[in-house]
Amino acid sequence: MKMSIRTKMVLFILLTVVIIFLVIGIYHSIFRMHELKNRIARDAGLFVQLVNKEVGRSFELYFDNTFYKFRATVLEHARNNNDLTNIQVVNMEGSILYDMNKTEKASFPGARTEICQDRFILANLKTTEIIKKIDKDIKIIAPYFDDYGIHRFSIVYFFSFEQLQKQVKTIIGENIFISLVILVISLMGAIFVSVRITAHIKTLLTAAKKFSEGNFGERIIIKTNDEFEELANTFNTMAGEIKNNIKDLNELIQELVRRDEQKTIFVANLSHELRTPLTASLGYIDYLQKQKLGALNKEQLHSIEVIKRNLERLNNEIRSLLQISKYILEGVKLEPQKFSFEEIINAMLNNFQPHIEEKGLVVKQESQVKDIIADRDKLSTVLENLLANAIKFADPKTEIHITTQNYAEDSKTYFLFRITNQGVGIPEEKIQYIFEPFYQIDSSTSRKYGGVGLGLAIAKQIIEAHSGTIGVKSNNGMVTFEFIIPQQGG
Amino acid sequence: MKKNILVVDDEEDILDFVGRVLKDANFSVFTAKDAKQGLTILQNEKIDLILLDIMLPEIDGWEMMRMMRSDENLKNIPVAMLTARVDAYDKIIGLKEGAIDYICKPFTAEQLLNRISNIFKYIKENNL
Repeated sequence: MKMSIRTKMVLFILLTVVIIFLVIGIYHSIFRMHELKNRIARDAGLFVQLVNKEVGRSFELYFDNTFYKFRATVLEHARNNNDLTNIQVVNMEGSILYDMNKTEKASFPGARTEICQDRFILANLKTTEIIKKIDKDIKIIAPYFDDYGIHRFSIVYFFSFEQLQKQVKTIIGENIFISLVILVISLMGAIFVSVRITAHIKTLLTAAKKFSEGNFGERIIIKTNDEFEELANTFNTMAGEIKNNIKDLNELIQELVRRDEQKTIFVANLSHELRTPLTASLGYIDYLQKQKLGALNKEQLHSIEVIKRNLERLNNEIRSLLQISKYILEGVKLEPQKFSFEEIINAMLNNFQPHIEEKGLVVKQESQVKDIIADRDKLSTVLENLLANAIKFADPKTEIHITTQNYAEDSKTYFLFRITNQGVGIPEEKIQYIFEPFYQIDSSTSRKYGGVGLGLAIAKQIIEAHSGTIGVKSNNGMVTFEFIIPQQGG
Repeated sequence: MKKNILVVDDEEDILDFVGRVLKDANFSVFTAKDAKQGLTILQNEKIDLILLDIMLPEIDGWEMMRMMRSDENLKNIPVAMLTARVDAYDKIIGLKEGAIDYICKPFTAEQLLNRISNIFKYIKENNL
């Protein structure tokens, strides 16, 4: 799921705040509960202590006065938590003579002032035991006996656990409410902060996007005097650099393209200029060789043969140069027709027969295709180049395999030609350059095998003009050239 | 009767070679170094075939051919183009412009004579 920085920031801040308040709230509630329990236990303990102090001791009790004295010590504590605790004085009939929460002064019906020898008897409870017991309502009863052992009345200490729970709940509720308020405030704060921050990020992002779409003049203005401003300035500097670099590069490319074109035109003109002197030379040499200008002896004929062969080689190279520069400058213009591929390949093998025999090569053909549709002359050039290449680079006494086949793919028919030879092979890192004009694997290849390396470049131009593809594979010295051109339906 | 052939080429060595071959083959040969000279010869001589180089100084081969086509007296003289260009596309243009044949440089004496004899055979058969 894609989540913007803004959402992430808001969520992060919210989560943090919620966790903090949850921890504080829970701690506070538990602490408060414990504190309340402690206070109640203390009060109850105090009550018990006070009552026990009187046990076994007779003293004069002016009821009202004594009670008020009593109240001043224990009851002050109890009164602070008067919704949790209460102290009552109950007579033998069960009537409430005094209720701390209801009245300040005790109202004893029929109470009279008399001297009594009263004593308190109370279960011998300890404070810690009381605390443990505060999980339900507590009632501590201190019966009061007079000197004659007559039970006159009881003082009862109440503690309401239910009330305590209610109070704690209220505290929790208060905590939740405060948490919610702070949550809303921090949510607003988080949104505000993240909007401010992400607004800058958005500005940066928009600018970067525009820039990447080619709008190299794009600049960002952020005046926040922080990292965003710094980032924007860095972006602007970078954009400026890139813009300048691209401008320089474009100029360089234009210059290179212009120079390359110039070079190609130069090559075309040069080859044309080279051909003209060759015409007269080749013409006359041939004329001489045919002894049209007089009879020649054996040595003269041999010399002329050598001159002629070299002139022809020169002529072939110049023709290739002229051809490739023409293809590059003007493109390849095709005249497709139906013709017998079989015938052409056989005629060509026939032409190469002397070279094939010289190296002791065996050519094996696996031809399924007779007629194809293509530019006959240009495809012949391709075949000638591939065949010459295979023969040139084959090791002596090896086999050359030629395969042709038609196949259909996506309702289109394709013609495939494949030629394999065994020889020096093509290094992996060089294979990608092999169809580039003037490319030879290394400069020594050209000396060893001759040629300036235009045959494959010309073949590529011609095959691509046919909307076809040409490729090469080299594996342990097995070199396979393969081209595919679409036929009808393509 | 000897056939008259006019060769127009700015390369003297080519004129020399072609002239030599044609003379040996028993043709009457006229040579011109540019289109102007060629047109002058055409005014004075009855020419049976013109071998015309395309790349000529000032007026090129195409232009000279167009000038001949607009001249009543010259428009029916057959022209074979000589060129160092290789593409068949040029050949089509040459033939469209009215050239009777298209001979690629370099050529041997044998090739040249074969083509010329074919041209004359064609002219004779078609009564041009």
